[in-house]
Amino acid sequence: MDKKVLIISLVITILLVILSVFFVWPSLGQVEEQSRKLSYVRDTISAFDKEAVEIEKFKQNYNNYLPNLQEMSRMFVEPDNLVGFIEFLEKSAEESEVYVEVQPQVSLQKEAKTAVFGLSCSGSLSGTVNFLEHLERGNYLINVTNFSAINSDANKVESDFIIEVLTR
Amino acid sequence: MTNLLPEKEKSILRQRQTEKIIMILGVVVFVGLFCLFLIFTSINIYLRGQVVSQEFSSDRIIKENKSPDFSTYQKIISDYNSDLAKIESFYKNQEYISSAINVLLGVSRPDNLYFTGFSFSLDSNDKSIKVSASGFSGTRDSLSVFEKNLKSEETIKNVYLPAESWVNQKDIKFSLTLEIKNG
Repeated sequence: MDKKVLIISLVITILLVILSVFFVWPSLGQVEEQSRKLSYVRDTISAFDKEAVEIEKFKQNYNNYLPNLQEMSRMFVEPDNLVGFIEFLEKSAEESEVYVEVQPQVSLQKEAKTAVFGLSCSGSLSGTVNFLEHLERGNYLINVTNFSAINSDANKVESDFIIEVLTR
Repeated sequence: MTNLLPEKEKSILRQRQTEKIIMILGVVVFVGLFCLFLIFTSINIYLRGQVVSQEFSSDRIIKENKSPDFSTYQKIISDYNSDLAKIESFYKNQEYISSAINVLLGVSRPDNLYFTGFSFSLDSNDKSIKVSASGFSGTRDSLSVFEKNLKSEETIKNVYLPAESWVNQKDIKFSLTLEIKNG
């Protein structure tokens, strides 16, 4: 008597489990997947719409932005044209009343997009510090990584710098 | 009402009743699950249709709007954004050696003490500037006063004068190392 009830219960349970595991659960998973896809496509459209509006605004104001953007571009040294940067170094040295010599070994690190220069400088201590400030707070993105100085006579110091400048 | 059936018949009736209850419950749950399956399947079919139609309209909108002008300005913006990110990161991490020199030279020195040389190097790991300096001090007391002045400066850390700098009482050629954190 009890055995028959047990068999019926078992058969029904197995059927329910099969229905849940092989039909209901996967279809729920598919609903989730399709919802995600739909949300992604809608986000893409919405992002594109926003981008289109922003680009249109930028296009209309481009001429107003241009001077600032060009100024920003000039902060990076062109690796193919180092003359402008070397002239900046010489001009800064002249303004600070020190003499500067750029070492011929310039190391261009293409991956890090930096150029490393060695500088030798002679002049008064205040002039040298002034020159250093010119470099660090000037138009180019210069990091002075090493600076050493010795007194060559009472009013003159000889100094060596290693500077790292960001390139394009 | 008195049940006059024999005990065996009663038991068979109870068993049939239990079987019926189990069958009914099973069928109810089965039908429920099957309905759920049908609902999920229809939602799934609807969503697939929506995805296909949205993908189609997305491609159409992008094609319609992507003029050569659009791509050019997109590239310009992307280039300037990348430049801006580099500039921001540069200024965020920049340490000024010129400020460090001014900090060191700003520490008050006794009259008979002066530097003969110094070296500053940037330590990008802990954002500090390592300094080593050499100089001349007329007396040991002057050197001691200068050491105290250095240690009292907030931005100067780890001031170290080697033992050799303290050996002589007068005319001392000293060297020192320290770290400057501009904060």
